[in-house]
Amino acid sequence: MSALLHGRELIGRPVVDGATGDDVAEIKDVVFDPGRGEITGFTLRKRGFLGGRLKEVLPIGEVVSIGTDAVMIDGQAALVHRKEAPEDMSTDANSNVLTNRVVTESGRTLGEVKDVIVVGGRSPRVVGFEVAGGAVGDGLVPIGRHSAVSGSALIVPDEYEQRIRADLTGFAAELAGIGEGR
Amino acid sequence: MITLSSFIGQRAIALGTAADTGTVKGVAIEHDRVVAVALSDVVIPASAVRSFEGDVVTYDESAGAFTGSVSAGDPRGARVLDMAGDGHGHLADLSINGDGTIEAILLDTGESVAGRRLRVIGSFAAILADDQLPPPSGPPVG
Repeated sequence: MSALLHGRELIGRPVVDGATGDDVAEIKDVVFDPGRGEITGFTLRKRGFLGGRLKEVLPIGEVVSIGTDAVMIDGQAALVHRKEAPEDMSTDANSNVLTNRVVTESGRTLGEVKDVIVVGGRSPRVVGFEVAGGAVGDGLVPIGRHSAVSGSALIVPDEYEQRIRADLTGFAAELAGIGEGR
Repeated sequence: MITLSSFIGQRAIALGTAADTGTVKGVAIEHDRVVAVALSDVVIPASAVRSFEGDVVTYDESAGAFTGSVSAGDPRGARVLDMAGDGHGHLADLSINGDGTIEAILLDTGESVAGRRLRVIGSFAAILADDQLPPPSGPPVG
């Protein structure tokens, strides 16, 4: 499995055009489709300390890879004007999962979503959430096939309460266990 | 073979006039090849250079100035990234063959990468192409 990282670690990461070797933008935010549980792309800003928001966005299908040092594209045509972006890149209020409550199917609140956990590499995707402020303490919750996400809450199976892990290393092992259990 | 560090700073002499035209300031690189050489006052195409392996750079001034779109400079110190977005350190030096092809990229980590993996050197980083596995060899199976 490629490296796991917090979504916030992507903010500010350079977007590098592998065709020219130039840094064409940096990540401003991760666009997440709660319904499908998938990253749909990234909003962008100009590089540098005072870099403003760019009108272009980066659909996930144009990303070659998310690496430890850069988000790679292959040609500037990968960046598209937000008006021409795929529909699933809309950034309405329902697409913001931060502060969503994480609730088990039995109705026990595990906490609020503080961040998404992303697996990088050639097929980047969200594999979990960082939660905080709940009865079970802060930790990382996997997003599995039985998870449901709305604009306000994330429903997870009851047994996920036992699967909260404190760090990415333990979380990676937990994900491997879920994969084997399928 | 010569290193970029030895090449940059060499005196440049025009073959037709034997005039000393300054020193090598940088190179322009496309894929695994030097395509242009920046001298003190002019950027010349690499095809005008007689050899990259001498003590001085001799070149055919009748070839004119380089007209390509790749900019010339000194890539030493540039980040080195692969297409996965993972860093490999910084470019410490290049080994350049007599025909201008890049034999190897020397990294500040002490490691080296085959020059044929070099995709481009841009304003942000030198980009390595994905590793290509060699074709299968040996007797056929079955």
